[in-house]
Amino acid sequence: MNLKVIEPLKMLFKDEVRKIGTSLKMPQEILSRHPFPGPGLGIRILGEVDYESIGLIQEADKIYIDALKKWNLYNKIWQAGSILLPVKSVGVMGDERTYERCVALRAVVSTDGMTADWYEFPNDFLKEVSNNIINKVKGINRVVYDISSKPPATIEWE
Amino acid sequence: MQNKVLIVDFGSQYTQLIARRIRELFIYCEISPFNNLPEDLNQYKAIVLSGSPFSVNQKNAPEINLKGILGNKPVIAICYGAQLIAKSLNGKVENSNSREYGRANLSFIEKNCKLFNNIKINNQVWMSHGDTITALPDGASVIASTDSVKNAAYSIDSLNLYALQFHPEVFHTDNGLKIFENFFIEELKFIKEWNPESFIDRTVKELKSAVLDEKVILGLSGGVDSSVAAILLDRAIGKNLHCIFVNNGLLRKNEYDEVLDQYIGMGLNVKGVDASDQFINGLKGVTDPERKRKIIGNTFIDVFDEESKKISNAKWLAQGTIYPDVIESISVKGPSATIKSHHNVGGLPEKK
Repeated sequence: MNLKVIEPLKMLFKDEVRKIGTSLKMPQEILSRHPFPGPGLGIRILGEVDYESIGLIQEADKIYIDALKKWNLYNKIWQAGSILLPVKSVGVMGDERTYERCVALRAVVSTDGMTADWYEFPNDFLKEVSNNIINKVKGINRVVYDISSKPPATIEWE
Repeated sequence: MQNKVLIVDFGSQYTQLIARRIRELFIYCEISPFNNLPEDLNQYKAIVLSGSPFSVNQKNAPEINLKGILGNKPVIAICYGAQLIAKSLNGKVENSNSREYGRANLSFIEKNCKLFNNIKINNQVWMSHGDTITALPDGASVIASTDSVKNAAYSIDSLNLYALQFHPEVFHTDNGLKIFENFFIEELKFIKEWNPESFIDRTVKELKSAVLDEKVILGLSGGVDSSVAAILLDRAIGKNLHCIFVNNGLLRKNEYDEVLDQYIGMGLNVKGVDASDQFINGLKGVTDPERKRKIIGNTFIDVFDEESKKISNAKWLAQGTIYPDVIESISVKGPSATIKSHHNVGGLPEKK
């Protein structure tokens, strides 16, 4: 197809785009949404992607993001997400040994995405999220928090 | 629009910050790389010269035709810019012991200098330079010093020029915005007209006259940029805007349905396309991150192409590209080394 390209925002910075959106009376829900990578969960599931792993990470991520909103932390953070790691580890639930997947939580502050620092959560927040994910998402028995800044790490894992 | 500023970029990491500061004053400005300046400089009311990772004494150091600018336009030159002017007008720039990195304080400020109106002695400034101006250019006088750098700022009144060794655009320079305000608003009488409302009015008009009654396709991603672009176009051309929102099966839980509802709620002419299976099947057995990205990007193009063909007589593709993307692609050093092969689902990625 031969289409002419039109880019109405090409002279704007991100914060200006948000101001324009506010001025256009767009829902704050859309304007304040964290950046999300184009390949989506495809690069937040390390290793092979299938419906089962998508289901796991969607459930864990929903618990995490809902908690961020409940604790009024969502708007203090540039970008947050959960990463499903391609490893299993041993756990114990009740009297049963489990051998399940691990989720890493990521949350960074930044003004432009070029450099970023990991966010210092209250311990109680991490405790609540970790408990909820492990108790409610069958297939995940371990939650870790990513404490790497960019650089030298990147915001996304893949 | 005569009321705008040109920032000449010599490759400084802070160039975008200069633009942001100026826009915070509600003044419109554009960035151009030094080796690709606009032909018509008369459209700008003032010019800023940026810093640079280069030394002016290096071979192949970036240069511009200063004769076409100095004396014709008011100029504020920062760091490398200040050194470049010094060197070209018989001053001297040397790699000396008095270099500074980080915080410094202004120990002298010329009382009558309008640029530093309401800036007090000891004001903190941010330095980041290996070279120092050891001899001022013709006609210049010192307007500010720090303890270790005498020529921390100079002016050449006959050329309507200010030159700063420090970086007023950086957060760590106290009152940096005030310095810009003194220059652009107080001295040059720029009108504060860069605000959301004026942008929307102007853009809607421009879109209308560019697109006329032709059809436009836009890929929505759920993100801020493509959504705002869609609403602007919707204002301009209404139902001739055809939005496509693809579910790649890799969105957050419930996000496809929720976002699609929001778009419909905002009155957009949007079509949701659930292509989850196509994406997930394509990823079967693939573990390499770069390959995953490419598969997802290519599948997106296939799905988007397929859907676009159904919109007969479409003439335009709208994208939510923003300024940092543009600057990146035209920057002095060219697109910076790819850390990851990014693709923007809001727009149309390149097929790889």
